[in-house]
Amino acid sequence: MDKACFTAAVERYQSMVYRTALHTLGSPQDADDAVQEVFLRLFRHRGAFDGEEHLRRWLLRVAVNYCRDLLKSPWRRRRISMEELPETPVFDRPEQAALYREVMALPEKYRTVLNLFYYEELGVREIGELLGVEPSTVTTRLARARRRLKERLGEDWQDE
Amino acid sequence: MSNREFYQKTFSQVRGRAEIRWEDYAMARRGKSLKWAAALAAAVGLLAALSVLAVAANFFGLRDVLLPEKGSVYVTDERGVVIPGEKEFKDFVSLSGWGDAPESRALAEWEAFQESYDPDGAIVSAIGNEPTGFEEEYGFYLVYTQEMADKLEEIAAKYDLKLHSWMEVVLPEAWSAAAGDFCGENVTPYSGYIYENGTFRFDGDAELGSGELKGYGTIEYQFSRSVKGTFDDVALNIGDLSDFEEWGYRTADGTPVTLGLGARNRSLILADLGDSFILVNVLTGRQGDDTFSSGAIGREELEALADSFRYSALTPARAPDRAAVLAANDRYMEALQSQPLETLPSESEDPLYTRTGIQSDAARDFVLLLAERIEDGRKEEIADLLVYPAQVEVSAGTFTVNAPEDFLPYYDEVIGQNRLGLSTALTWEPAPAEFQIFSDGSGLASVADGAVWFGLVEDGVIRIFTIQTDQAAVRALGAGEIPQDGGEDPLYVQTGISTETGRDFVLRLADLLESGEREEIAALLTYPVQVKTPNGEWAVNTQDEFLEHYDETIGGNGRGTLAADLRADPEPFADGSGLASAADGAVWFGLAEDGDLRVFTLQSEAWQWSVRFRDAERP
Repeated sequence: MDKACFTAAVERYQSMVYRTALHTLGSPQDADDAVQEVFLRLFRHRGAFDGEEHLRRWLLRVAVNYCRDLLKSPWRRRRISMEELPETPVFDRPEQAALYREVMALPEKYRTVLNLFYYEELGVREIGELLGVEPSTVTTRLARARRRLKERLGEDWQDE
Repeated sequence: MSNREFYQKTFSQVRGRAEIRWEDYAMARRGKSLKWAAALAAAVGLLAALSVLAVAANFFGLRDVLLPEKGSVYVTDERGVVIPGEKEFKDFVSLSGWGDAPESRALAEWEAFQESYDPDGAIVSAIGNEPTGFEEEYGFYLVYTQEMADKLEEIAAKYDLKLHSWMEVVLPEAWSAAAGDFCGENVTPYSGYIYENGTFRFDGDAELGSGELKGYGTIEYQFSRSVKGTFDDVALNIGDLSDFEEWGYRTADGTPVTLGLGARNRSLILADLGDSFILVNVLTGRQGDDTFSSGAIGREELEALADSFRYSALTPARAPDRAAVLAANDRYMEALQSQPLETLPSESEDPLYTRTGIQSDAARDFVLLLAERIEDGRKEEIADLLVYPAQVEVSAGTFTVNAPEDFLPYYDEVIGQNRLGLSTALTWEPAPAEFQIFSDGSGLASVADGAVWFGLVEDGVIRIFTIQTDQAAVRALGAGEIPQDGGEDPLYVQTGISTETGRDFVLRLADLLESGEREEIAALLTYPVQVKTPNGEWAVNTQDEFLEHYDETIGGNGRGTLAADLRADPEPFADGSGLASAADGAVWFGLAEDGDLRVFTLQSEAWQWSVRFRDAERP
């Protein structure tokens, strides 16, 4: 990948990769590290991409795989033991801060599907393929996450 | 606004701080550093400010690493979410040395300043997520105003300390290049970081598997070496010092260390090497740690871990060779890059891993551990390894157990009387010392010709789903149907019924009531029941008998209202009795002995009838 394509990819997808990593890892610092790693893999990637959507899906897949590998590592698990509290970004509105807080308080599997479904607008089947689980598992996780958000956020989260 | 719009508007404001540039990667390929330092610096600062750890001790020695003032930490609710504005005070230890060392005194002063500075977070909120301008010079400390920068400089000058100037990530196989050969053969260090003066920190594990400790397995820890003379703002939050048993010990390489064995799930190793200070935070103690699946340790294991490091290789402290660290990192990355992204080669070549998610080595270790525990009759430890709720099949009948303590009364009949046979079969089938582990595609692994089935549970640890012999058995109840989130679902924890299953049951009952399915409803009741109406009370022992009372109770007045109530409030609720209720107590239901859901009580307060299971202990 040449410099122009790489730079364009960073511009378009850095936030997406960061959000995905943040949802999976739950830590802004770890997510920043993951962004470096994912784009390093893009830098070193020798294959061609069949268009913009292919590149986007590739980055999503690499980000999810890399972050989930990190979660499996004893190092990462031990860092969780330190109970580091993630920094909370500054939001425009209090209900947005509440949503962020509640999403980040969910277990990883719920955070990841929420991001892929609500932000990246992937379908249940696509999410299942990406995560290596059945679509029914994705549906269940989404339902439970929605219910939890509804309980915690009240009217700010619509019934679905 | 839809939930999707709400979600996207919220998370579009969340942005990373990593700077990604083509030039950095191109330079990294030629041996230059990636710009990871800033991100990691933030992590370290955060660790210093917010890390919440273990527990420490009220004995002389460990007390000497305490900082003079307690530090505040955020209070979290039962879900681990920070409660805004609420803090509590804990003891902290410095990683830089004893409490009276200049580094520790400086840290205490810095902590006190931070405690009083910007207490409501107004300044940092005003800055938001924008760069502060202090990242370059004070990137390794939590500094976001000039006032903070001035204070940091003042404290460093007062105690004659330098400030950290650079830091590099150290990848798992680069520690030798970064800090020398201080790790024993049984030690595996993971990624960490090292500063310009040789201060470093990493997480790692060590295999304690020789001599008396054979079979203990992996012990996990966090290793810190702080070189004196530089201000380091990392502190660890500790709690009750009296939880620790403390003693002095001379390690295998002759280094005197202070050991603190925690009563719960943390322990400490301290070593003053003169020009640097070692603190190893061991992630287990006398109780073990479920989070990390760490077994309990005793003095011997802690001493063995202390023996696993060559402290003499860390002194005198030397500044790291940055280029050598980067080159070692690059070699590691190159090796990693040549592997497939999704799985490690060893994993893809391991059929058991493919089918169960458990690597063969881990499965063998688990079987050996289980065989040993069975042979030794360690009832509680085996009970802890089972998946709950489970069904116990013994001569007296079939019973449901929801927790380890519930299983213990059945232990002898299921396992104890077959102790030697089971443990032998585990390790000797099909041939002595060559036991085989099978998987049938169910996601579980089996051993001893199907006598024991085990698999991964949600938190990634191995648990036993079935143990069966000719005489008795214990099996995870509805193994294939246990909700994945059983542990997170309060209803499930209390009743063995997931919230989702409970809600479906209530709604199905409402359907049956509306459509007048009297036989099906009668079949759902648990007998004998006490039927009560304004006209009298009757003891009813069978479904057929109950149908005679159907029209004056469930089928009569209030049927429609009851169905509507169930629909309006189908969310099941548990009160600790083992049963679930919905619609403000109109229905109580639970798992029957056969594992199916049954109604224990159905009642209409408005029409003054009730149908209750006749058992004094039930509501």
